[in-house]
Amino acid sequence: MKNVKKILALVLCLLMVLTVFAGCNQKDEKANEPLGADLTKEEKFAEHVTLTWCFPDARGAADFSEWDRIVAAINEITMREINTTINIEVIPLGEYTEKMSLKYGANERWDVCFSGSQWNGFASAVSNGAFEALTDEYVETYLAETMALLEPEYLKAVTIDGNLYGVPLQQIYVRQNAIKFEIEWAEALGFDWASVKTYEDLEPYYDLLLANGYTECFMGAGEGLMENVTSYMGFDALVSSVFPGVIRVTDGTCKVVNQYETEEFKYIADLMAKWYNAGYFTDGVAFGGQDNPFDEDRHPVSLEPVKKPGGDEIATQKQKNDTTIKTVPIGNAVLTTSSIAQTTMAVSQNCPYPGRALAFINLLNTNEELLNLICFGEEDIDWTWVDKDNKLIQVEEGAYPGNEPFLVGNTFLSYHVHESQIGCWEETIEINKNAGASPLLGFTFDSRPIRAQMSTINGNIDEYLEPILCGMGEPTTEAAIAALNEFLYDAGLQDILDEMQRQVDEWLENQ
Amino acid sequence: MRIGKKKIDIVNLFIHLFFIVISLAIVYPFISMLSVSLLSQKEAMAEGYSIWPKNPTVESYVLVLNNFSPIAKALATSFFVCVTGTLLTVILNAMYAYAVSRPTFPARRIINFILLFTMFFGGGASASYIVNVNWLHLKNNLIILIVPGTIGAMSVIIIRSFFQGLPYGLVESAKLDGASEYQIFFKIMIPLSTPALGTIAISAFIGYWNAYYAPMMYFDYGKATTLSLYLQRLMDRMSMFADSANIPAEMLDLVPGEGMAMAVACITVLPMVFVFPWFQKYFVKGMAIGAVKA
Amino acid sequence: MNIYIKVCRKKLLEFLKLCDMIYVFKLEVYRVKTKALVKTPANQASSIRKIQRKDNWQLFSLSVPGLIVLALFSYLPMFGLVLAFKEYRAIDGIFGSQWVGFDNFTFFFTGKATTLKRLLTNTVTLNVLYLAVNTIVTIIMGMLLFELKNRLAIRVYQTIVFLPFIVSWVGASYAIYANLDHNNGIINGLLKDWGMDPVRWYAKPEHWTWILMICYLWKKVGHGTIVYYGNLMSVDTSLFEAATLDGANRFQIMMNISWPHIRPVVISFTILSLGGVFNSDFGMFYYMTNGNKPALRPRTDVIDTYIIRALQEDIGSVGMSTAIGLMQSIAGFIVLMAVNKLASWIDEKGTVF
Repeated sequence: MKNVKKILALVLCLLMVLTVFAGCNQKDEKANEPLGADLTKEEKFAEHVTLTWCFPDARGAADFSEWDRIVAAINEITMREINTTINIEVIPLGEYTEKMSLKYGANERWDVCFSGSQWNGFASAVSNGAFEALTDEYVETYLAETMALLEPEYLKAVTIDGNLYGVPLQQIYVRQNAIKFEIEWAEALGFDWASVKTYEDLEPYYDLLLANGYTECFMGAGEGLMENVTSYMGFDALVSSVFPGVIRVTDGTCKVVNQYETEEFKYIADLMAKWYNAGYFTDGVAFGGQDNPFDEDRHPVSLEPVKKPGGDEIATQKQKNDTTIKTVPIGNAVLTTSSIAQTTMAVSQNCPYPGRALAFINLLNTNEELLNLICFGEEDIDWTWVDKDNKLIQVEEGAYPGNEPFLVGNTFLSYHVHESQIGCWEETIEINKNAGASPLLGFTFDSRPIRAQMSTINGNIDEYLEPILCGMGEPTTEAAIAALNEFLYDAGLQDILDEMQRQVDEWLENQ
Repeated sequence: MRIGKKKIDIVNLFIHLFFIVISLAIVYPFISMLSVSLLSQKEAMAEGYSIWPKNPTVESYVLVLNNFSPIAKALATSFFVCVTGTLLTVILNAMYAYAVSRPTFPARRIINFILLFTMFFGGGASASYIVNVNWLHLKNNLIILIVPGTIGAMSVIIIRSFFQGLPYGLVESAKLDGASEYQIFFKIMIPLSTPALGTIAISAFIGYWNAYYAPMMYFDYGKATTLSLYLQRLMDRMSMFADSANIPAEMLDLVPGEGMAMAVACITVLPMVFVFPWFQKYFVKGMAIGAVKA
Repeated sequence: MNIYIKVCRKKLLEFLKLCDMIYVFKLEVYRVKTKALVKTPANQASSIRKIQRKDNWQLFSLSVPGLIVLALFSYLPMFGLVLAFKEYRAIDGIFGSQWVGFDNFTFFFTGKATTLKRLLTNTVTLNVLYLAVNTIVTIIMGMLLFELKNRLAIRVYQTIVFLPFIVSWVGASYAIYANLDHNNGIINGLLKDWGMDPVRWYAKPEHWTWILMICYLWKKVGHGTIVYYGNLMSVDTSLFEAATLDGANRFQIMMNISWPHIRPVVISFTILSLGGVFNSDFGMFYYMTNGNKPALRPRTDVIDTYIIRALQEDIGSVGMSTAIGLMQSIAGFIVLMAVNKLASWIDEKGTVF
């Protein structure tokens, strides 16, 4: 008993000390930055400022022996253009999410960061209060050039509760599922791959392949299939392609449904069962075989979640078995909140110079020289021109590894490294412009009220889903789907759907 | 050893046999790792994995080790952290264990409890980060790699049990000879306990050797890397590289698969094979019984 | 056989008595000395207390560095535990986040009861099974290794059994994948060579209780063996000599000298491990099953792997994972206290506190 008391006393003392410590965390004051759309460059950037940029490093740019030279060149441009020193804090992409979330918690000083669906998730960072809400004055003063490039609906995707929290980095925004062919196989067997419009159109090809000694024709069964069929089925998912809760893009009602109860899902499930029974894929696909990297070279047909211009040529370049890749889009092309918010640039809530941070983001989106310096290095040192009119460059062997443009700024400003890429940016811009927007574009689901139910579903759903999407629902597909739905409702799906509908309705009202 | 030499030999033979069988079973996965690391991608694709690759190649190793200077730097950091960390671990745990092993020490239960409690309850990553970075200001400081993991309940118990296993009266008689607790600890307990301390040292060394979370979180990129973090990052980057759109096609041949992962695993294990026997001389040292009788 | 044991015990007792006698004798001398030094009984008591207090201070000071490390790096961050009762919002900080009572604890209990039952059963039974087997195997190996006298052989065996301890589970998962993969795996290749049907290892949960057990043993046996072997080093070798002289055979010596000697540390280890019975080795259960494959979950899903799947990066997940961690810790701690109490009836020396 005495011991327990002693420990309690110790713990209490510690807690008291801690509360004192905790009070010390202070927010930086916002600096007084000049505002006004008609200010001149000199007026806007009179004060010299240093900003910290959390730089997502995908390829080990910072390991490059002459990284300091690149940083100096970057700073030369930023000093010239916006009188700002950029302190680049390199964070390898694999660690980005974790490091950023600890930074938020510790209230560490940083100014500009990348935020996307895969790395440092946008919605979650916003709900954690990490990003500065960008007011109109700031945007008009410091971001005008970039705003001119963006369609108004793109901004809806990064607006939450009426506040703009980020700047979408331009790239392919449209979600359209596609089927990927290695066309040599198809041509040898006399199959017209270009005419494929639905999954069922593939069946004659599979039969041909099977007749010619292939054992596993269809790659893509399993849980991962959901990502590839969401837009094919005409859905926009509120949380993720696997999580229940979608709306139909086409019917315009914005009614939230459980996709696993729909006819569309049943169609896919039945198709998988049919294909499994027909031997188009073996159960090895579902259980382990899929992960085998050495199988990569034997895919006559596979699925691609996103069709992008120029993608085929790059994929072809990468083929080790010298086949040619062609993708055929299927289903709807649609713009969704998550497809746009997957690459954004955001400003820290404790950045004292949000205006200057925006000016820097603006530079990354409009300054071709800066973006390509970061992504490819310096002209004549790290790369040379091949065709200056078409922006085609030759990267020096063993030189600066660079970075992915979509992690840095406006992808459409980046140079081409393959001849085949020429013109693909223009094409992508057109596709983005012409795509239909999901009725829910701009809606971000707030999962807080029902997180207990959501985690139960997240924890177990794949166990029910995996067999169905491998065509191996036990004892029948229908029974497996019924079991899946029974599980979902046991876990509180009705609450989730109600909450989703409530938030959607509320959001629609405020539009 | 007078009870028929032959009989003992047979028993010994069986024990040896037992250990040989176990050793083979334990070594087998390493051999399969090694063989996959020596497998070329083409052969793996064509014929699957096998224990004896037909055309062994060291391309995976070349790829991992081709950047010499960062590896040397990471290795130096790793080595420094391992050595200082291991020394600190051994001495701190031994001191702590000695205090709690003494039955006359009234606070031993509570001191023991304070340690055990931390084995179960911890504040989590966010809280630790706030403490270490905002309060203790240990960002980019090697202390954060060395000090936090030193004291551990398991280690203290191993040493404590060893102390308690030493013959009764050893401490008492020294005490009556007028030795202070410090003297008993440093002059008698430490020299007698090398087998237990060796056990702690080797597991501490490996703990430090494999650590990558702390250097990843508490160091800005480029400030300090341990070898395991370096290799981890290398692997991450290689897989990113393979998905990248903007790399020239000819560089793609460099992108490795399983082979490189296995090579990394083998490289991580290798230094230990050399370090371990060095620690072993402490395990094998028995205790000199004369200490008590004197 | 009994007679040998008796002889052993007698020798041991004699030895202990001798030690005791020396001790008592020296104590007497000490008392006489102090008596001569101090005159009044009050002074005598206080001076003995003074000496004791000095000793205690010295002992305490030995533990101080450890206590400081614990205070700074374990106890200071412990305020993070309040997150179990809060909805963590990074910007509000740990103290500023909103209190939500026990909301964070509910998610683990929503949904089907069978899932929860499966999780608990797997976690507890697998942990206990692996712990038991591992303990037995390591004790046997430690004691057998101690029987050997050839130093070179001991070194080689020790190094080899210890090697897997160095490899991370991620590294090991590649090795097991290379062996068990359906199409390219070594084992299925062998099975095919021998004219048997290949087995779809990653689709058959029933094999995995044993596959994981082998992995567990492979990785952990070396450490336990070396700990027990090291502990046996503190046995007074004169006991063995005496027993051998009296004609005890090796098995008897093992059972009556070696085993009682390591028993306390075995018990301590078991108690500590049982305290972690609700926490599993995440690395093993996750990586060895090829990223927690759904098909294998009936036999391999444990609380820690479930948490990772259930709590994806989102607001509130920090609170929920803290909550479940706290539950695991409290439950584990209760088990530890209970087992410790139990152990104190068997062998006082083995208790952990």
